[in-house]
Amino acid sequence: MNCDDIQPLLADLAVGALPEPRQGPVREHLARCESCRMAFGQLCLLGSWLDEIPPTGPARDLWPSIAAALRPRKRTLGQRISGYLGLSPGWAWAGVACACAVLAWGGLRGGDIPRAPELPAVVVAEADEDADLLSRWSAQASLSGGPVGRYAAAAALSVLPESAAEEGLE
Amino acid sequence: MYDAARWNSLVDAARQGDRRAYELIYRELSARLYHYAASLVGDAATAEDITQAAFVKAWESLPRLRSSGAFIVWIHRIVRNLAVDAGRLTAREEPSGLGDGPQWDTEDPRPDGRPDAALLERERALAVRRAVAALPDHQREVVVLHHLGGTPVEDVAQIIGVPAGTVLSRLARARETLRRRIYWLGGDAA
Ligand SMILES: [Zn+2]
Repeated sequence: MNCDDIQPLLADLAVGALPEPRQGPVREHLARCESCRMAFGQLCLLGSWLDEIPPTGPARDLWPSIAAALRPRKRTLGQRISGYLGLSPGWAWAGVACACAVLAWGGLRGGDIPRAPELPAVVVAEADEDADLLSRWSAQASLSGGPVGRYAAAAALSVLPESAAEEGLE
Repeated sequence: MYDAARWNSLVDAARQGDRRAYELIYRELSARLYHYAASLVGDAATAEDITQAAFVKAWESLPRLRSSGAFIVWIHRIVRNLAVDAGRLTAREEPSGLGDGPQWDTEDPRPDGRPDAALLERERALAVRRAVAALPDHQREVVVLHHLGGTPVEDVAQIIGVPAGTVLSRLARARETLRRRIYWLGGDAA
């Protein structure tokens, strides 16, 4: 291979884009050609220069405007129960599941089991609110066949085939 | 580049509604996202709007994000889509401020008349920034994301929506273009 064959491959080699089987002839040429070796060195050096350049941030701090636009996060039912019980969400749900199982078992046996302490009113109210939200969302989703509420607005904003606002989301 | 465990815990906290954690995320990512937005749309004011909108939009959808580790790619994609929405993705002009770099006094010869190493370094950085800003769109985007933003090639591929091989190929072509354009490398377009 001569210099004209090698030169177009040097940048690929420098960025790691040249497949292993094609690297051999290029490296052999570099070992004996001063001119191509210099060009390759420059391409590699350019990579380290680029890595040294920091991204330029905005001229002003955007956080105050962003913070003002953030709506308070609505906690899920699981987060509320776990917060109330002082447990991680997984354990809280496990506890709820165990309690349900015990109640169901007791009901099947017909035996007497002690009445569970009542949840504080605030948790019950929030649970009702969540259930209400869920039912409204699912009703809207079944009508529209897609995401609802502000997620729908976010999805509508995107023009790429797959909305970034929806990608990676559950 | 980041401590993954720390990063994931920040995203998890923000997912639960912790604004302080979200501010720390903003502090870590704002320069990368703003620079990326500016390189796409070509002007500082629009880039600021896009950066703000991206953080607000990400906050709203964060509880539904599948994994905390996906946050960085995901918010870059939001920035990209907002740039498309702004109709400015193909802007070619040099983004304000991105190619200029810091200003310095060039009338400062050293007593021995030899060039100052720090001055040469600044001049070099300025020339590289300008050359990057003048790259064709596809090449500039991968260079800004990968080199200036420190984003791994696989993540760049996900952000742009192309195979990793295409990202590498664009990086290689960009490297050639930059070499030709930067005069002291002896390229033919100096
Ligand atoms: Zn040669």
